[in-house]
Amino acid sequence: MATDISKPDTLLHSVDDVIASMPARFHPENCRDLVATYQWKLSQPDRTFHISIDKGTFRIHDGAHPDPSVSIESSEEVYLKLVNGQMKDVMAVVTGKLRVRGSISLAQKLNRIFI
Amino acid sequence: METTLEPTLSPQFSKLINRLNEVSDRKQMSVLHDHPWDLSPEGAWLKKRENLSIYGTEFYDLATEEERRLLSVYETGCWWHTFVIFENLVTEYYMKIINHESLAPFPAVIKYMHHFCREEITHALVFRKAMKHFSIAPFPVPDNLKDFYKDNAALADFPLKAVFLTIIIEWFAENNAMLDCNNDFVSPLARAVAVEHHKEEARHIEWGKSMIREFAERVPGFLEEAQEYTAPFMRNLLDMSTVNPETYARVGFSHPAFQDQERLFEAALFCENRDQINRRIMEPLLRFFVETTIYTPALHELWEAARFGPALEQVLARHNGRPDANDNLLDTPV
Repeated sequence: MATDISKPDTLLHSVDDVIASMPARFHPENCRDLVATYQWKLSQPDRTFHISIDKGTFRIHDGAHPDPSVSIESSEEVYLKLVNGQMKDVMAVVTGKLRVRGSISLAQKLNRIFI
Repeated sequence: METTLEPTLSPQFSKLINRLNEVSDRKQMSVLHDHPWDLSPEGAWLKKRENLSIYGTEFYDLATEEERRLLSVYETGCWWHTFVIFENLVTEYYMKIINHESLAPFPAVIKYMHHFCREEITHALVFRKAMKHFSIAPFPVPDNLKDFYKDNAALADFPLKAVFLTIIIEWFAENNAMLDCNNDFVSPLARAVAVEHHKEEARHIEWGKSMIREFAERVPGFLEEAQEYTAPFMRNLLDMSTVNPETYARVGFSHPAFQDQERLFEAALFCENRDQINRRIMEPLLRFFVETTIYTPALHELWEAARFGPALEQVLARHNGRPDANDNLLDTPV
């Protein structure tokens, strides 16, 4: 993860807002050949959900996946700042506020899947 | 020295192996004799001020001269400790490959890998000794770097990906170390640590590049994977090695502006001075990635996303992707 997330038109104030915005931000043309699971493990407050990408389609699930391709860990506050373009992901990584586990190349693709 | 190799090794690789073995047979670094260990650590600068992470930012002016000097000590110490960790890892991986015995038909290769391991162990001992000399305690490896390496360098009996990642880490770290100390303002001991390391590391890098070329040509899937993960891997490495919360905490800057960590990190990572240093560090690597097609125009977007776009365009325009004869050698320190 080394790119900036572009700023959405309106600020997203909660994780539910982010999830609700995903269909509109989804770009199937950027994941036509991809099968992967991205998991978010948020803290303060705790919340875990994951998204299954399957060749240009996606589904959102509550809870943890037993073997996600990529797991992204941060506080809810940092997550919302990242999604709203108020913090660069590189800053979150180098300050230790964002932890990315799993395949680095799959993690990078995420910024092109939900724009 | 005459060595007969199996015909499956390319002539260039065989020639290189023989040359590397000859040089390692002739002279290897000594922990005791190749550095001026009697020099006092008092008041020493371990890197030039222009390469401090805060140089070229407003924070440089807000730091006292002693804080800048301490930053030179801890930023260099952090690098030395990174070398200790990765040189030990390389030794572990190479011994694993030697023990795997798949290289048994190539005795010259095995011989060089033994030389290589001996040299890496000595380097780690020298870096650790230098840290003790300057009273620098070990640095914790940042969680992200640890995760990132663990999750992306799957260990198998024949850990190719780990070897590849470790080689490029060492190459990039070596370029950085050489750029940091090529100034007579820097402690002669710190310069000797870098220069003596460089003499052997330059060979390791040449060897590593040849191995990567062989992997890319012969190991199914190696090239395709490397084309996808190398750009984000390099970007993370560059950023994580430029700014480190631990080095700033150890200096203990007195000006309150340093409390705003995000502003400090952003200033250090995105200033023009850092961009210029990163370009110099990365230029030989980018040329190599172009030559081996680890960089491919079809995936240019990945390199753009990892903020290597302008540097790559410069490399492509200036060199048309051709490697220089000896492109891992940067300026020799004075």
